[in-house]
Amino acid sequence: MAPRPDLQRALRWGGFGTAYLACFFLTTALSAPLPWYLPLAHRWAWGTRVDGLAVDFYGRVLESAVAGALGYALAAWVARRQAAQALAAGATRVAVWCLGLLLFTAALYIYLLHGRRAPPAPLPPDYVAR
Amino acid sequence: MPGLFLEGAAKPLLVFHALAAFAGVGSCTHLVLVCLRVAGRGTDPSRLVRVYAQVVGATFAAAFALGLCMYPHYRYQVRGLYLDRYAPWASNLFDVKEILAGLGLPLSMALFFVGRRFDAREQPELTPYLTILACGVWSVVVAAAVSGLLVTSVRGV
Repeated sequence: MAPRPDLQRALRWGGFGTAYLACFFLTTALSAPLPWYLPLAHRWAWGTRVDGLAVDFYGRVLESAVAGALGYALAAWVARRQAAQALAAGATRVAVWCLGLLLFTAALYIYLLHGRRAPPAPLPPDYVAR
Repeated sequence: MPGLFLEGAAKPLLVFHALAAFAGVGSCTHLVLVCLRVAGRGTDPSRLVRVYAQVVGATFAAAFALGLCMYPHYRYQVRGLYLDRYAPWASNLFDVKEILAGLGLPLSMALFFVGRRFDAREQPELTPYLTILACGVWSVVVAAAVSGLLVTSVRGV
């Protein structure tokens, strides 16, 4: 049977998406350590939580992208060993997994953020209200 | 006042971020409709799928990158000093929007790299794959655009 690079490509990117989204979910659910960016201090810190004004989004996306790259490599390895029929079914399956993980992780965040009262940053002495 | 990354460019970045997002909403809506047409009637608008998939991937990446550049300014000047103090619902809504964008990124990349070589006659097996991904990205971009408008109506920069 002739190789199907289109289906292999679909499976590889499906593997990327599945691993990326799974990592995004797991780093949130398990409170995994992340690189945090501190915008006022212009530096990075590593941990599960960081004191003061800090941003976890960059680190979470970065960790998820690394997991996605691993998922891509694994899917490429699997795709080389599959027949076209199995590849077609596999590609649709990983797309469904991606959509399911997206919805599940979004629901987790909506639950976590609903009604949150984050402490505001202290007003600087020269602050002028706009 | 402390110096923040790209603080002076917050307004133009916000405008370009919004433009890329609205282009993404439009192109993704077209892509979903075209994919559903391919899946439902078996017609062959493959060229449209290829074009819209590339536009969706490019606009999503552009809006995402611009959002990342603006984020330090937003996190302190908008959220830290204002939203967390006076409109916590908007602060939480923005975080949901940010997460949705992060979750939609791999799907938009898959749409871009797989959809740009799509041919409905030679690759009919890819139609459900692209339709599922397009519906996922569409949900994300519409929710993110509406949330972004609501948050910006409270405080933008």
